[in-house]
Amino acid sequence: MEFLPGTASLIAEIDKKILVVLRDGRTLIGYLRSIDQFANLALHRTIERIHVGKQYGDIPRGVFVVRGENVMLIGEIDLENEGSLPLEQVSIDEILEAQRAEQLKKQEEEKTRNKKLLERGLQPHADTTHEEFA
Amino acid sequence: MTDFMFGDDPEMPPLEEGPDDYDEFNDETFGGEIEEDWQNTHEKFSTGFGNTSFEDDYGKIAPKRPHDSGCYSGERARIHEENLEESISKLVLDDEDDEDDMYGSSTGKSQPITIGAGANMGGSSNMSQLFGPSSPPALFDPQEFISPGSKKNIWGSPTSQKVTSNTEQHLKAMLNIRPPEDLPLEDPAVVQAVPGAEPAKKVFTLEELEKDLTGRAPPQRTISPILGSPPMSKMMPVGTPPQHSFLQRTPAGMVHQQQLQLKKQQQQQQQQQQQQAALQQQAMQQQMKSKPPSQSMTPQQQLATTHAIQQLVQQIHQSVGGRVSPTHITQLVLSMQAASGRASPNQIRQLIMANTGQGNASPFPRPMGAGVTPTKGMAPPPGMTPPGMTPPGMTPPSGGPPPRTPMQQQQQKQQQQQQRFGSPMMQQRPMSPMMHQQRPGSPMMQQGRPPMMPFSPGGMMGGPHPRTPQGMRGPGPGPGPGPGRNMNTFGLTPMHPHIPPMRPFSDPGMRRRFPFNNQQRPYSQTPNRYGDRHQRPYHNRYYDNEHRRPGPGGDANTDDYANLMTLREKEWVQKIQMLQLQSNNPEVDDYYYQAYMLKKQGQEEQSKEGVQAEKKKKNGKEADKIITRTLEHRVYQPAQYEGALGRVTSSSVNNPRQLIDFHIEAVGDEEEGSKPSAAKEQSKKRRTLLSVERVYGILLQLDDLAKQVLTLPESDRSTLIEKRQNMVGVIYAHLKPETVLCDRPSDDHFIQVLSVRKGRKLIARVLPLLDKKEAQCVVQAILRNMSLLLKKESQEMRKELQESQKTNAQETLPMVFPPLWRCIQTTTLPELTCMVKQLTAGASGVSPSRQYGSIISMHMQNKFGVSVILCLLSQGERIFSSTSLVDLEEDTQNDWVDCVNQFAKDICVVADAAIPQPLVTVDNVLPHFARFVSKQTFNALEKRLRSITEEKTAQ
Repeated sequence: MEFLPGTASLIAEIDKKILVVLRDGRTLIGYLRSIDQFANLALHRTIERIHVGKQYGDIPRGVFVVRGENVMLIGEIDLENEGSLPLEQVSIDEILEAQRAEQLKKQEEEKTRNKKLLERGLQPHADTTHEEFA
Repeated sequence: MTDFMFGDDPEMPPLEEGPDDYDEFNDETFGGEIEEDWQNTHEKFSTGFGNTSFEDDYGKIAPKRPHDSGCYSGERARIHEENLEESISKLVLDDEDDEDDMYGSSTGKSQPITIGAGANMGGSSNMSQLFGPSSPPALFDPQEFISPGSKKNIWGSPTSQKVTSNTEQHLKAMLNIRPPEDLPLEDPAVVQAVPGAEPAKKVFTLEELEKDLTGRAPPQRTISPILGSPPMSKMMPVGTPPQHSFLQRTPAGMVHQQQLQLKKQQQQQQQQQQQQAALQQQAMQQQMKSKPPSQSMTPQQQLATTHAIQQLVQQIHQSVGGRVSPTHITQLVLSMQAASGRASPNQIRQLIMANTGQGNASPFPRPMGAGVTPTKGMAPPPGMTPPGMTPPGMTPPSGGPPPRTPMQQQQQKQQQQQQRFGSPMMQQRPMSPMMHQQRPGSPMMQQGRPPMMPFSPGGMMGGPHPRTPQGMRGPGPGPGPGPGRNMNTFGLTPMHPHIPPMRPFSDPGMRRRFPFNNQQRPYSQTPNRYGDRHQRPYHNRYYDNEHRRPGPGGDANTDDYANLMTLREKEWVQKIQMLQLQSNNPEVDDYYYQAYMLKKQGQEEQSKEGVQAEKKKKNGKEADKIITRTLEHRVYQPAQYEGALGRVTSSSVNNPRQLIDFHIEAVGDEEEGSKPSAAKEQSKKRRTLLSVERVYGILLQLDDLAKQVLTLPESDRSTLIEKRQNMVGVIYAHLKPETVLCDRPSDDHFIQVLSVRKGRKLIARVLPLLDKKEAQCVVQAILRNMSLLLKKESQEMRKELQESQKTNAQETLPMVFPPLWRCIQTTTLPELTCMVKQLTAGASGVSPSRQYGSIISMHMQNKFGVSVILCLLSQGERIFSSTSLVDLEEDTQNDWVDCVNQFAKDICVVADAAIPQPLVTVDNVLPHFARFVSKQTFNALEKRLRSITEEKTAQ
């Protein structure tokens, strides 16, 4: 199968609803309106979706311009099955609360882990990479 | 005609604003749509077809799915709205046509019809009905528009063609079986001519439609900055009337002929008018008979019919001036036949020709049953009718008997059309309104996608296109004939944002990547892949208005903001990305891709050749070297520390696994054992390694050069070849096989090179690159230092075997042998003798002469040595057998004979069991000995050599 090289392949996704995962772990869903050769994206009617466990919440963001280097993943949303997610949608406040709780929990875990590592005489590595995507 | 509208000027820049304007335009056109319209038309059609399989087919083709059941009605409604728009545009175009008609001397007939006015007239309402709902141009099969050559339809759904043809066949069958049923649909012209014959119910629907249309009459609008805002009456809301392009394609001579015929026909018409008038009544009755009983005329309708007839007569009168309504012609034909059967096919044909000469006939033959003729007055087939096609003559409502065209005539017509348009394919186009009713059910629609507007870029490039769907909708305000116009439409159309302009890429790199037609590949493929999705935005736009009300169409269709990225911007991105592929040095910049392609190519060849490839593999492994190369699998053994308790288990960042295992080599041990000399030896070896390394660097450059040379055309190669030659010279100089110190050849450096494995491998690689003379020098040097070489090799082998505890150490000399042999094979007898002398001289130089004989004997006991010796002898035999003795100088001959005898003597010393199997089998050594040595010696030689020279042949 032939693909257009580079970001030109994204032209196929223009005006479609896509999901973008950013490098900082945020998930955006919106209509791709424009791209350029750096895969800078202009998203329209964007929502930021936060997943915590089986719950998710959407924060309306409107127009979102994403610098291409921050894009980790782009995928087209299946409009037909969009409504049938095996997840539960909750309000923004709820999801933010859940997110906060989750982050706290993670921090706590990290702390104990580092502590234990130090006890064993090991320098704790800052494993920043896997955190967001775990 | 209306050229001005579409700028014959090819320089006209493509309108970037086109899509926007167009969309605005669409919005205006589709002010507020009412679903009722569609429902009405649908009902009408269902009744029109009776219980024909519209619904069935629809259901068959598009089984409703739970998810988009709602979409369907929406989709259909949209299509009907589209149709309505089409009819509106048709009305306007008719107008335009009338005004612009070359033959427009009959002013009476070409009265401009404003949309509002049209609504009041029964005839035009009929027309709108017939054109409207049943002719969704958007649905017209995109595949039909593709040039026959290119099979790829970039946007079309692959199934649509099939569906179309099926439906067509079905339709044909249906029409043949049930002619009465399709009467109302059969031809707009017919219906138009006899408005009274319409069933009452239909008339009502039409009126309603018309009202609706009037209500929605498009306001004045600006079309495009270039085209300005033409007055309303001149507005051409939609694009190319293909008719004109067709005409353009007609050879000029033909047009001329048609004009002549037209004149003739006009005369004929005059004569026949009276006759006609009398026959009209008759024809009308015939038509009425053919109507189904259920559709019998009301008195009111009959009245209308008579009125229509009167009007018709009037029209014919007017048409004498030059314009001939097709309805009239049909009638003419009818009457001619009915009257006396005098209507010869020729005459009819002439008539028709005359008509088509006016450019108003439908370009497509109608595959429908008898009774439908694609004459000028008839409405073109729905869905294919360009707005401009409606002939002027049919606008005023006129009664008249429906044409009952004989089959013969139809055939003629088809022939004629074939002649004109040259494409038999067109005849297969679906034309019935029903088709288009069914089309929404095609798989394409199942996916909730609006119908696509495929357009083949290839077709575009291939010259004037018959008719493009987008042409009908193009933002251009007027019908512009000719390919140029088409092009412009193309540029303007928002419908094909993904057809980039033709941009030939001259870059070889690009061509490498896309070995197909550069102009078409990336683009034509892209739309193919994404085509339908690409189309969506446009349609979203197109349906914008409708979607504003809450519809089940899905949010993908309610997108007002689609196409914010213009075609040009998309192209720009594509271009940039393609540019990035360009490279002047793909071997370096794009190595992995190149290697991948090479590998792929190799695989293809292999699979292609099959058995041949296998044979090839046996012969030379180079062919598939890239494919078969596999990584050596190494088992990692964790480091063990002597005296450590337990072993270090896992490797980590803090405890990395051992990658480099270095230890101090004690090289000098075996030889002298003195420490300082060992250190000296070490540094010398390192220097040698470095120089060898340098030569390898040059070798790599040489490889690159060789590849570059291959990519260049013959003419440009000379400089590169020169460069290569220089490099080879440098390499040769580095090896220094023949430095002369104090008039005695010093092979010190060469020996150093030979004494490292890497150096020996290097020589194996360099030898084939050197020219003959240099290669022979190197070979001589090798032969000279053969004993040393053999000693080193065996030493290293032993060492390696000891140290690494490997079962097999890699020998390097077998690698050296093939190029060596090749070099020997090119020698002449004097050179050969010289080589042999080097072999013996090297031995004599190193050792006392008494040992001389035993050196050869020693070599004979080494695999490499025996191979080389056999090679030399074999080459001697080849020389002797291929050249006559007369040509060889006596001196060299004698020298050679001496050499051979010496060889024979030395070989005889060696025990036959001690001679190893040589690397190659040479079978002409014994015959060579037979030439020179005595019988006794030969027997001894044969005893020893028979096994090694013939054993392999037995294998």
